[in-house]
Amino acid sequence: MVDSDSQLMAEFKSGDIAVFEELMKKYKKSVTNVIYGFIGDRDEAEDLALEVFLKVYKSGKNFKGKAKFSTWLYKIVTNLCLNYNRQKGRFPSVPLDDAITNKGEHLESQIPADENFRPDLILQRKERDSIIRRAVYSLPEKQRMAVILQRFEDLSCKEISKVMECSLSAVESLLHRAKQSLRKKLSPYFQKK
Amino acid sequence: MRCKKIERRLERYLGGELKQPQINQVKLHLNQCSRCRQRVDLLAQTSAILRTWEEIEPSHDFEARFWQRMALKERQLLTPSTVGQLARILSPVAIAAALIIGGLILSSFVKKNFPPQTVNSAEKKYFTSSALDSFQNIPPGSLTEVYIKLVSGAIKANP
Repeated sequence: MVDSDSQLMAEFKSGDIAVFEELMKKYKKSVTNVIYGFIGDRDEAEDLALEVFLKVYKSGKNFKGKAKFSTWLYKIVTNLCLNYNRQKGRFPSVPLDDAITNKGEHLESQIPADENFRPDLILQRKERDSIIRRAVYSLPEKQRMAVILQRFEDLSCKEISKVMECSLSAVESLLHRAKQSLRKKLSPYFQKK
Repeated sequence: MRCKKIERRLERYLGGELKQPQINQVKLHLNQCSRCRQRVDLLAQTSAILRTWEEIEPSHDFEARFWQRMALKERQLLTPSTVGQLARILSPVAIAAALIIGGLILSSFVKKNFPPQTVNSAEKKYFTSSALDSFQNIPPGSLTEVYIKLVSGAIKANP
């Protein structure tokens, strides 16, 4: 059965550009988050997300509709991320940004316009988020990508294996090892029993 | 079932990706193995912590930036720099082609206007005699005259 996004891609291939906009609106957030999780730089992540959609736009004719659209899309995302890493070297030139230390505009957009907002809680949340980001970023790139695809896309192990073009048992192993090292790094956040 | 085999399946077990017989196998093992029960617990906690990892919102002008970039890329295909690059790549080929064509035109022009002339025997005789004549006009007492005389044996060099 053809998924609805693949159907939209078929319409896009026949010249309906509005359909492409629809797909971009639907996936821009998840694509940006996957890339941000992987490379750790917000501005670069958005830049790469734009490149992903340019690739989708230009190579739309190569989409055969055999796989799900999301699988095809995240294959593009994964390849771009891995290429980015190769070009930049293993470590980024800028440290992992988090909304607190980064540009004011990001922080502003995150502070709710609510009277009851608690800056201490926001800071706590941001700090925890930054620690999670750093822990995930410290993983080897394949483990990192598997964890990110599972977290942000809710992809099953089977879907991750299709995106990353490896076997199901390889994905199980990647996730298993990733979670083991994350468990150690995030131990302060575990509930004591 | 062994712990190692179960451990690998836990990810899919928690994700609800296993089939019923496999779920039953894992459950059976967990009932008997406290270490694996602890593993499931820790794995579930790690996944729960990861779920608290917040998503970011792409900037509000994402689509506008996309179309801007698309227009820029299309324009780049026709910019002077691209044309210049193309010219740089093609210039050696163009120069070679121009030289070949120029050479062909020149050779056909020369052939047409200056047909090859054959030298007949009378002309040959004339050229030879005029060449010999020029040997006879050697100024007397010059080094050339002395040399010729030496060679022909008319005078003898001092030992």
